[in-house]
Amino acid sequence: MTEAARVPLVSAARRKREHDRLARRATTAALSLAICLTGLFTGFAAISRPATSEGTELTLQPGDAESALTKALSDYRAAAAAHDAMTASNATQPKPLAPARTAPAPVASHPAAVSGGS
Amino acid sequence: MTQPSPLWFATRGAGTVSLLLLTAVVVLGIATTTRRQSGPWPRFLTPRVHGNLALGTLAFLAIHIATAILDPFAHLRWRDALVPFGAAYRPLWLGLGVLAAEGLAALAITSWLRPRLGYRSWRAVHWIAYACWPLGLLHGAGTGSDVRSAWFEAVDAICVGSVFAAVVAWRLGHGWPRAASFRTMAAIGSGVGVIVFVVWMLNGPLAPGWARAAGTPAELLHSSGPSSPSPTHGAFDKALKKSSRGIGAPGGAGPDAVRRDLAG
Repeated sequence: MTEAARVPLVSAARRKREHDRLARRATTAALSLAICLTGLFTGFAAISRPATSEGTELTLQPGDAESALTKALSDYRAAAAAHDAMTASNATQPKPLAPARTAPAPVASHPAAVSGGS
Repeated sequence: MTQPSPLWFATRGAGTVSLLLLTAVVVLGIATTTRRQSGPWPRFLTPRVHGNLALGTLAFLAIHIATAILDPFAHLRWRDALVPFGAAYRPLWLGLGVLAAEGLAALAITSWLRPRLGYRSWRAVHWIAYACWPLGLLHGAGTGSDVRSAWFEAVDAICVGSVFAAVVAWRLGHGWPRAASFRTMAAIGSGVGVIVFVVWMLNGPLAPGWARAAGTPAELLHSSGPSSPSPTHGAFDKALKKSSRGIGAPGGAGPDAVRRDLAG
């Protein structure tokens, strides 16, 4: 190969190496960014929905808080009413009498008296 | 309640980045086809970075799929990653993702075998790329748990905007005014596609009750919940517990104490 033919060949090889280097650098930059974004989005996912969740079903809708409060309040009122009724019932009803004492069992006679022995 | 899982977070992060990378690959592919170049970005760089990022997309996609299957929440099996529309969890939207992933795998294999296949066959298969991207986008919107998050909506907007701009300005604008009527119709069709997507998002994934409509198994809907109750609910729970403990029980707080708690 003549010197004149070799110069463009070397130049082309060098250019190819330069192109490869640039492409590698651009790819590395893009993939590094992608890795950083993966970490960022994973963090966002953990913050926005800390529990394993079904997303849309868990997002509070307008009115959800009100309905939950209404239900809790009605439960509370029912429980309070039951308590009040029980308290009132305890106050009006006379306490049941203490159970009647049973007569003490007769003391067993002395064997001697029973037998009538002298 | 199901406990938080790092795998579940990782699959969502990797899936979002896969969509971003796929968008970059599609835009670079269009730039390659139309021989775009600018000052700091020479033309030779575009096809190389396009190919390298396509391989990177597959790697992130593999992480996305593997973490989704290994995570115990959605009960996905390896078969669900290969056979579309067979999963118990959101089958349609998961199936679109499976189709997109298989299309990308086909693109990668045919690109690897390009010298043996010949340019025509390779080019024919490469048109699948235009279908893979919308499939991936719909999969992310239909299956994604983060679809209502501002950051995910921003990612979707960036992806849709980038591809729309690349298709209309570069792909359809390249060679203008040759086949002008076809290009105009294609541009209008792309615009209509974007509008349809936005309208569908508003009435589908962004509307209440999407998880149920998308096909989430009922047991997953019932088993999941916010990790911590709101302060208001917490106060009521506490008050109700006290109330129930107080009724008829010695040492209970009673309704008066509960009323004080609630007032406080």
